[in-house]
This record gives sequence, structure tokens and C-alpha cells, in this order.
Amino acid sequence: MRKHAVQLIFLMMFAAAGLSAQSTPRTAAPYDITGYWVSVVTEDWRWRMTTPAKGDYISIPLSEEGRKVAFAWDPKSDGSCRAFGAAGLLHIPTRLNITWQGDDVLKVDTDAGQQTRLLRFAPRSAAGPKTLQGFSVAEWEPMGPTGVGRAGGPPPPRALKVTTTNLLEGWLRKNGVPYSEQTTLVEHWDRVAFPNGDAWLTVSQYVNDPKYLTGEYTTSMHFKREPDGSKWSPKPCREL
Amino acid sequence: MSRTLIAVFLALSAASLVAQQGPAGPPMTELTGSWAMVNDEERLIRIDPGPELGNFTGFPLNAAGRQKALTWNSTIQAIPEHQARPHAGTYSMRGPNPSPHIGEIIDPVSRRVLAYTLTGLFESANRTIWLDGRPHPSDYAERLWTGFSTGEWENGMLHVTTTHFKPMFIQRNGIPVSPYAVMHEYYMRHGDRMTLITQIDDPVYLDEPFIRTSTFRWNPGAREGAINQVDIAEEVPGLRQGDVPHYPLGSTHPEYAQDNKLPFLASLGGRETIYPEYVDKLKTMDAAAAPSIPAVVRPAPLTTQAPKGRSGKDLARPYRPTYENKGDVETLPVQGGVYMIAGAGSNVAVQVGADALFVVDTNEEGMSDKILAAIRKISPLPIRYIVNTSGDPDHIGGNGKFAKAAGDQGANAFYEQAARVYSSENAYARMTDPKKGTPVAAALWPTDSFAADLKTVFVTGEPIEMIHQPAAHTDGDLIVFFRKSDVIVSGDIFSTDRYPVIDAKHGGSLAGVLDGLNRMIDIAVPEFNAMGGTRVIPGHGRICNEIDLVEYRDAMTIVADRVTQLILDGKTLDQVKAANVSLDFDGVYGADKGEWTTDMFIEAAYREIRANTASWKARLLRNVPAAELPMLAGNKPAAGKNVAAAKAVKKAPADPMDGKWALNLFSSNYEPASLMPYRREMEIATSNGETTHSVLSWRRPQGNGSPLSSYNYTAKLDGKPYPIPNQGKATVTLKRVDAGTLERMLDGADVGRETATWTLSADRKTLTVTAKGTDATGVAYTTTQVYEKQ
Repeated sequence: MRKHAVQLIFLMMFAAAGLSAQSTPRTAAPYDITGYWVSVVTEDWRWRMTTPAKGDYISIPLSEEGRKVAFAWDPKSDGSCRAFGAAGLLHIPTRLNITWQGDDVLKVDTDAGQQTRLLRFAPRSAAGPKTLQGFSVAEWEPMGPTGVGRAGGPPPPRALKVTTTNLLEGWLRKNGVPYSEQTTLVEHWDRVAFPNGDAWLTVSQYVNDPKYLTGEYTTSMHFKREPDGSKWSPKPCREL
Repeated sequence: MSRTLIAVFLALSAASLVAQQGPAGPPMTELTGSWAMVNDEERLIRIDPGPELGNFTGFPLNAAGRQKALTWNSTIQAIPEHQARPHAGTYSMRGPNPSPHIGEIIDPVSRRVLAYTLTGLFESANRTIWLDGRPHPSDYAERLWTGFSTGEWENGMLHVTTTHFKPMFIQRNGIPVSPYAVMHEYYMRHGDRMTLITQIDDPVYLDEPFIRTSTFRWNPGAREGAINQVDIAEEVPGLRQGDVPHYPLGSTHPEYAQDNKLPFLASLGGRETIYPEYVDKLKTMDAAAAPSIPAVVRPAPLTTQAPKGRSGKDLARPYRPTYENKGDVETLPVQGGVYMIAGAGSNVAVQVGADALFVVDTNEEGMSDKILAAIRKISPLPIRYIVNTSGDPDHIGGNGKFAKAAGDQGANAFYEQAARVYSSENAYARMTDPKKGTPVAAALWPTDSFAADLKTVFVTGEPIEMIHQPAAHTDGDLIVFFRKSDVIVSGDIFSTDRYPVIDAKHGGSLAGVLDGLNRMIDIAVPEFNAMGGTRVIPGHGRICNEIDLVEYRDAMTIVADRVTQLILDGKTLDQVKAANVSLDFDGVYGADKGEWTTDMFIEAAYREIRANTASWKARLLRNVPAAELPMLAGNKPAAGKNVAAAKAVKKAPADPMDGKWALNLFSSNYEPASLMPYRREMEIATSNGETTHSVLSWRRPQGNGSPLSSYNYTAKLDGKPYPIPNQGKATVTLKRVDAGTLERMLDGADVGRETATWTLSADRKTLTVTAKGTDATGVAYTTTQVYEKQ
């Protein structure tokens, strides 16, 4: 009987370990950001809803080299896909459709510009050639200052952090204010639910570009949850 | 053995569950410390020069909010009673440049975190976020700039619910927020960064809740600056107490849209404008179309259904409190020895002295027992003094029972009462003389009425003033001022939940109400940056301080001005009612039914103003310059409609600098940055050796009736001084260096002293002005202004 008990204990331990081994980024997700979301443009409205005038880089810590590029922008190129690169894409009024692609990749589609970002958890493949959307590495990062909770408290909850590199040069604004291929984009994607029933996705972005920026460029965009994709309205950007 | 197996199984199962769900307890993240705002979004709006008039982009404003914002005039900030205000909690975490320090209030015994404190906010409107589960205050409690905040942890984010705001703004260009707004915030910390998402739910002024996100950077070692106590200054000598500068109905402020080549309608905000579909709609709209305010769609009235509980969750959605008789009472300490007993309709004030109680108003007779029971809980001392602020039944009904409640009938045997009951003579007449009112039972009659403007007594430990305010709510109103406790009891001249009841049948008038409000504003002194200080118990509603009086006075003045404006324009009562003259205040004070509706108030105002238009026109012109009123300005467009059209300078294209120029804000630099206007235009015209130079500058608060300032002069380019008209003894000296270069010197008390070099680019499309000097207030500055040819 004692032998059977020991066997049973080992069996249960293996089962528990098995469960743990089956945990994937998808099953470990502390919150669900899949579904349809819509930009609600309550900040920087003029710079996001319209194409600003050439040279209007107000609020962006543009370097001298960046200014030259910004002032060289040709208004005829308005609508270019370069405004839809990862560091500028979420500034553009758009809808997002977020889905899991397998268990370890979050796929983010936009209807504006018809772009797709892939947020890869622990990617096994190399980054490959540079692209507009770059190579995004995702992780469920502990919230808080150091990744640990208060002494004696429970472990901190986790939230989605995305680091994107391997970017092609693109625009932070539709008027050609540039970021370079050396850019690193860090994002935090959070979901909150307000008491009135509205769910919101906030994406805080930190753009570092040693070429065109003199300092970090920080923005945060917010998206409201929509019940379905009935308002999804794909519009391609212009390949130039 | 089987029991051993079961125990092992249960233990493992429990461990498995714990592993999956985590241990119990609030999942907190550390937020304390110093943080610095990152201003990479809306920099021009959040710091200097601030948002332009008429820029409502990004806000889901409804028609009421839009009307309030379009008629807001920044000059109002120069009025003494408007100065020194902090930013409300709806804006203080947004700008300008907040660097909050988040601290903790710790329970000294349990060491539990009771609250977070947010200090370092503009004008010290520091916040406390209670984490200990305490309820939000009563509807009768005073509202604060900061509101009242409670917080709880949700998935590692701090969710803060804030209620009890004073009426203020959510953007510094007049976009309003009502006192019934509820703000929800989520604080999310990711390493050294913190994201704050804020939702302001205010159906009074917004079509849907307004959302914005702000980012802060961990800023260890930084501490907030010194506490900024701001003195009230005479900023504009021509302005005086009681003035309420505002733009008239119909003002459009199209300059922002014009400057940015936006369709005017887009600049007005609204729900539709903040969603992606509007990008395509913008492309179909005519940016050159004449500005026109869309037809008014009245917002649905805010629910008056109060929640049953008072927790943050209970109060998650806005509602408009009602202050009708609920059949029960609650007692709120006000200040000093004064308490307010509320809940029975009209408020009752009780002052506790060393040996007796002083009561202002006694509510209705049917509520006397409950109110007296509440008074007994405050103090067992006898009621020796009672004041009736008017002869209204809901202010005098308890006179008899209250007076007898002292229990020592002999104290005032002559009147067979134990307490003196004061009233104005007119109120007394209403209560006793069938020719002047509706007599009430003799037991309710005042024992001491007076006709003087002021009666003072020093009883119950402090000096008390009874001020007769003639012809206000009625002709018999008294305002009571407890000088030591520093509390005013306003009677029905002021209520927080309704338009003032103008009882014209009994001598009431809107003019008297406004005078009464201004009188109380004169008495009241806020303690610190428009916070605290003198408290006010209104006839109906919540505890207030000076600012609430000012907001009410402003609203009633503006409505009166609009009615006057329309009467001067020949409009009938029906036309005035249809003109939505009170639209932007109806959500706070209006009523469609009941004893005193919005229509009744407008009608009373109309009849009074119609009967004495001349004096009301004089009031109007204190607040709105005649030039901005179409009916007085020869049907010219109202101010803000097309100010740029006022420019009139002769044109002579001969000189290379001649033409119209506009300041490029993005390429220009001012040090200090606060001097940068948000718009500047100039025109240069040269003829017969003389150059005429006209400048229009728009700054946020100019304190001169308009955000716009202007000057022009004509001078020869000969290096000699020439006078600048309308600028005192100021002179300008122009000297031609070469075809593309000018040197200019300004000198005079009204303009300061400046030396500048103007340089024209080779393509004649850019004019660069480098200047340094001191402005009229003595502030030294340097600037490089880049103008583009228009």
C-alpha cells in the first residue's frame, strides 16, 4: 500500500509538472487583448487626424539630421506606407484586430494601411531583413519597479512589453518626420476596464533613435474595445 | 493509509491551485516616489503657450459644453475672485508640467498604507487617494478642486475613483467639467515609467466619457518646488468685482481652424470627430466655409438617481444630487462652531456657543422633531436665537417648536418663547400681514424684526451679522455671517441645485440676487489658493466656499447678459427661450418640472430686464465690449468671429519686406517661453518713404477683454524715434541697414524696451527677427522669431 501511495504522489507531481510545461504565452496571458479595438483620438488630434504641414515636428525631439529629412518631405508622398511603420502606425487613426497566431505570437492587424505586426514571445527564428514593422519580441513582464512585489506580498502581476528593432526607416508623423533603421521601439500594452463597461487598450511607446532623435520620444495611444469587426474598413497605404 | 493518500492529494491540489491563481491579497506595485511628466504629446497645449481659444479638437463635447467653451473669455481669470485657482483634479496631472511626488499615509499601528498623497501639483492642489475603503462624502459635503479620491488595486494597476469636484475645466481654454463629473484613473507602472489613463465621465458637457493617457518618468531625488501661494493682484485696473467677462452667444473663434486649415466644425470637437471615420470626412469638408455653429441638440438630463452606497464602486457613474426633502436629516460640521443640518430640503445652520445655540432657518414644521433631535446630538444647550433668512414656509416652519425647545419658557416671557426669532421687517410682514403675504400661525412669527440694512449681535461667543439684501429672492432676505466661525448662511439667494427663485410677487429680483451674490463674494475670503476659508451654507444644496458663489454668480450674470443681448436685438420671450441662453448651465441648475423650472427663471429674467433694459445694458457692457455685440456694433461680426478682418493697412508692394507675415511657432524661439504667443500676424507696407507696421498677437490670458493685442505705427526708416499710437509715450525707431535688413528699437513704459534686427531671406519668403529687451513688466527676454510670407 505504501508503495502505491508513493507511486501516486510521483504520478501527480509529474502531472503537475506536465501542466506547467504546457503553459504557453497564450495560456499565461494575464489579460486578453485579442479582438477589435478602435483608436480614439483625443490627443495630438491635429497631428494624427490630418497630415501636418511640412516641418511641423513640434513635440518630437528631432535632431538636426532629422530636421533636414523632415523639411525634405514631399507633400505628394502623403499616404505613403512609411507613415505606417511600427513606430508611427499606432498614431494613425485605425482599428486593430488582435489575434493569437499559434500559442506564442500575437498578430496585430490594422485596417488603416493594412499592416500586420507580429509580437513574438521567445522567438526562435532570426529577425531576417529589415521591414516596416520590424522584429518585435514580446514578454509578459512583471509590473512595478523591480519586477518583485512588496516584501511579503504576492508576486506582481504581469503586463505585455514589446521591444521592436530591425526596422526600415519610417515616419513618426504623416508629414515625413523620420525615424531611422537604428530605432528601438519599446511598448507596454495594457488593458483596463472602466466601470461603465468600456474596455480600453493603452499602448505606451518609447522611441529611441540615435540618428534622428536627440532623446526618447514618448507617446501613449488608447483604443476602445469594439464588439466585433463590423466597422473594419481596410484601406491600403501607398507604396512609394 | 487511504486517509494519507487523500491528505496528500488535497495538499497537492491546493498547491496546484495556489500556483495557478497566486496567493490571496492585493497585487500591488510600488508607485511611491518622484515622477516627471513627459510632454511629448500636446506640448504646446500642456505647457506654454497653452491651448488656443476655439481649439476643442479631440474632445467629445456636447452642445452645452461647446456653448460654455465658446463663450469663455480668458480675461475672466484676471478678476480678483477668479485668481489664484489651482488646476482641478481633472487637469492637474496633465499640465503644465506636473512633477508629482507620490507619498504614503501609513497607519501608525498596523503600518498599513491608508492613502497615497500626490504633491507638487499646480498651485498646490495636492491630492489624497484613500486606500482604506472609506466611503465618499455626502452629497451635502463641500466639493474640492481635487475632488475626493479612493483607490483600489486591480491587476497591478491602481484604480482611482474621484468625485466631488468643483466646477472647473479639462483643458485650459474653457472646456468645462461639471461638479457631477466622475473621474477614473488607472496608474500602471512599468519599470521606471508610469502610464496614467484617465476617464472623465461627465454627461453634462460630454457626449461620451473623455479619455486621455499621460506618461511619467521615474525621477528619483526630485522634490516638488516650494508651495506656491498666489496673492490676488490688481491685474487689470479697469476690471472690478462683479464683472464677468465672456464672449456673447454666437461667438465662434474660428482662428484656430483657419490657422491650421481645418474645417471649422472639426475644431469644435464632438463624438464623431475622434474616431477614424472622421479622417475621410475631413477630406470632404470645406476648410474655407464660413464658421457656423451646428444646431443645438440638448443633452439628456443627468440621472438624479443616487446610488445606495458611498464607495468608489457605488459612485462610479455620475448623477445629479437632488436636495429635496428626503424625510430624514444628516448633520455636517461646517467650520468653527457651525453645523449644517441637511436632507430636509432647505438647510438649517446651527452655531454652538458657550451657553446657547444660534440657529438660522427652521425648515418645515413637519420636520421639526427630526431636526431638533439632530440638534440635540450636536449639543444639549438651549436654542436662544433664531434667524429667518426669508419668510418662505420652508425656512420658518419650525420657528415655534425650535423656540420652545429651549425648555425654559421664562427666558423671554414677553413673547412666551424661549428664543428670539429675527427676521427682516419685510419677511415679518409677509408672515403676519394678509395684504403683504400669506399669514402663518402666530407661533411662527419672529419676535425681533428689523428694517435696517444690517443688524449685528455678539452672542453665543461670536459676532454675528444679519445683512438685509433688498429685493433679491424676495424683498425680505437676510444673509447671516458668523464672523468668528467664518461661515455665511445665504438663504435662498444662493442654492447649488437650482436657478435662483425670483419671487417677483414678493419683491424679488434678479438684480438683487446678483447684488447679494456679489456681497457674499465680497465677504468671503478663501484661505489658500482659492481653497477653504470662508464657508457658505446655501439655502439648498451642499456646503460651499467663495468659489462656488463665484461660479453661481458668473452663471447667472452670463444668462442675464445673454437675455439682455437678445432683448437689445428685439427678440421676444419665446425667441429668447428658443435661443438656449442657459443651455450650458441647465445640466447643473436647470429643471423641466417642479416649482421652479428653467423656463420660469428665464421668463422672470426676461420680464425684469425688459422693464429696465438701460441698466441691464450697462451691466452687459461691463462684461462684453460693445464692439463684440452685433446689435450694438452695426451688425459687424461678433468678436472672435473674424478678428483678423479688423486689420486695415495700406498695401504697397514696392519694398521687399512689404506684405503679410505669420509667425512660425515651430521655428521660433522665446526665452522665457511663456512670452511666446500662440499666434502672431504682422503686415508691413511702405509708401513714400514711410513704413506702416501692424502687429496682431494672440496670447492666452491678456486680461484686456480679449486674447488679442495689437499695435501699429508709421515711421520713416531714418533712425529717428516716432510715436506709437495708443501706447503712451512709446516710440519706435527704424533704420534701414540694407535692402534685406532693418534695425528697430522700441522704447516706452507701455511696450518695454527692445532692440531687434529684421533679416529677409534671399527668396523673400522668410523674415527673421532677432530681438532682446525687457517687456512692459520688466521681464528680460530674447527671441528669434521666424515669420513666413502669407
